[in-house]
Amino acid sequence: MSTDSKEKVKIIIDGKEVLAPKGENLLKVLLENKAAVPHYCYHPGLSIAGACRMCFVEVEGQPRPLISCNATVSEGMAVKTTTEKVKEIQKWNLAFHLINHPLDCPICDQAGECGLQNYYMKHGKYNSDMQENKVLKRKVISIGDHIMLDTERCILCSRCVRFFDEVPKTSEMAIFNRGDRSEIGTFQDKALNNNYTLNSVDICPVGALTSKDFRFKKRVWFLKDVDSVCPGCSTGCNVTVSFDPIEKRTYRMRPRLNEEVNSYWMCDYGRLRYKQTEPENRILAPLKKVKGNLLPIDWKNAHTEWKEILKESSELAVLVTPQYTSEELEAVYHFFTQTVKTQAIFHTIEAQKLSDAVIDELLLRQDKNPNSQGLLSIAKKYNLENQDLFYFEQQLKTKSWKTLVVFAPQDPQSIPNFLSWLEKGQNISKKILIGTHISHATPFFDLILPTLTFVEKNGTFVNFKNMEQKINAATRSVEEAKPIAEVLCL
Amino acid sequence: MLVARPKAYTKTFYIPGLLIGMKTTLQHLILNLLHIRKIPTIQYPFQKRERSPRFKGLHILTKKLDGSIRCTSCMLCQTACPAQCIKITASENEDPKVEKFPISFQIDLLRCVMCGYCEEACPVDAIRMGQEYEWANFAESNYILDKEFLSNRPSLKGGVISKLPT
Repeated sequence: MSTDSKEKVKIIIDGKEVLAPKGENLLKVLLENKAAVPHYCYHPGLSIAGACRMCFVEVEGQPRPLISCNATVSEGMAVKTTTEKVKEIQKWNLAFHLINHPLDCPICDQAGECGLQNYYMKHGKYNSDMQENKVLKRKVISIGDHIMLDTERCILCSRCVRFFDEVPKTSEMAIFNRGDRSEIGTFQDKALNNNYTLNSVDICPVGALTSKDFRFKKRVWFLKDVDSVCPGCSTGCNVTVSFDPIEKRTYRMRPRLNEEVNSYWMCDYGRLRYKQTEPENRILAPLKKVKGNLLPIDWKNAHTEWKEILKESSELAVLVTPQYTSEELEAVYHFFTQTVKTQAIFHTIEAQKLSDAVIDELLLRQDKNPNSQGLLSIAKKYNLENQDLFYFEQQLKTKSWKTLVVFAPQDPQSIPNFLSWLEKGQNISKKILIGTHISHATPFFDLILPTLTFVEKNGTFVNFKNMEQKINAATRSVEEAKPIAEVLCL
Repeated sequence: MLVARPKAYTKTFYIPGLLIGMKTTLQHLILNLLHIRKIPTIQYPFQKRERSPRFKGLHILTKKLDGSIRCTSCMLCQTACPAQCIKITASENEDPKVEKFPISFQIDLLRCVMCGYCEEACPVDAIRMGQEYEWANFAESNYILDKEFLSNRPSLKGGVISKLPT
């Protein structure tokens, strides 16, 4: 729904005149115009609930303040967001929200990005006059593989309920009981079973829903954010990567708004792709096979080794996976066609997967590579787009290559049958792996050169719609790893 | 360039200052010999100076009434620490009422500047600055204090229990 087609009308926000589309949600317009109206239950990607009563504003001509999330823009509206009356409402409304809140911020993962903490410091700052005991509810309930529920912290904004109703359309969560005993949950604490559960953690304004994956790992104020793109599949969801700059480790990935690709959401599969960047399963240094054992060597030795291999090899083949950025792939194709002068560059794109639709409720695609389209367009440029994995396996029987360079996938789960031909290729004397992860196939290679994962480099991924999207470097988890261009031109 | 040499008598100008200094020294010697005045020096290892109750010495991790560690590993001390000497690893506690506890709590004493910000930052009175200040040791590794030492070292005689409500 584009707002351009709508008729624009003049409204006044805190004395400032702005143009807004007629009939648009008033809170949305206020937030777009940088009026800091507090809100919990309103989320631009969900329907309107009017449950939290935080977004009160005064509109001239109206007898009393109204909630802006349930109001629409009309001609000549004069909205005031900072009057004494509004401030009073916000303050005591917040007090009402906090009556039964357990205040266990020290053990709550949301602390630091919590709606209650932020609004208390901004709009609250009252002394609690509550005399009654707090209503105690259930805590630490596991619902599903990724979510931990704490009903005591919940402020009943119903964002999660509406999310499961509207986005994955599984309607798994609901509000049970009445009055101050109301609590969110799933029916009989059943596990949430869809691929979008972790979005509910993002949209929860308090710490009621927390991620098991991120649970107690890190306080959020130690983390830094960088805009990137999810490498999990060819959809290319826009994400924010959070990393610790001191520890040099990535801790989580959250969706970032892009109306054309992923809106506000991303899938759980993609969200956990950041684990592939952790140094535990990575190649930490260049490895060389000496008498059947892979031994770590330094880059200087790897350099000479690589040079010798290129000098000797008359018969050289290259296998590329679409897990690298367009810049890297361009470098690979250019280097091997112009400098090494070989046309035997093969890619692993499966044509029937490219056209496939989503395989879950919303976003995840069968093609688990972030840059298939990018690789295909670069291969077309060099007239090599027909050389795929099937063709490679056929050629393996007839041709006698001496050297093989493999650019391994950065996510080993994405192309599971990628090295199934290894047993057939016994007559290849030198096998070189350029990649990030140690796998069961690693011992078959003679020289292994570590390269960077998606959080460690800048570049471009081209998604299934042929949209070019930029990824940004966050932190280098493996010091020794080098970008592809440096690996090639050693 | 020629510089005029100062007159010979100027060399004797130091004598009055020397005499004034000697007078002060002798004065102190006589006063101390005859015990006319109390000497500020104390016989250190045998005799110890009295410290204020607010003295900032070796850190203590307090315990709950049931003897378990009081720290919830909220990391506020780690955040407040200007020397970055605290390292906490949080973990899930078996008891759902406790939920989070530090599976390791390390203080690098060689980095610590004894500012007491950790004590100020702690929301649950879990870390305190104690009274001990004699921590001479042989190896650097001995200065990285772990959870057991901070909460249960022999000098604490079973640990310090914080009686504040949890």
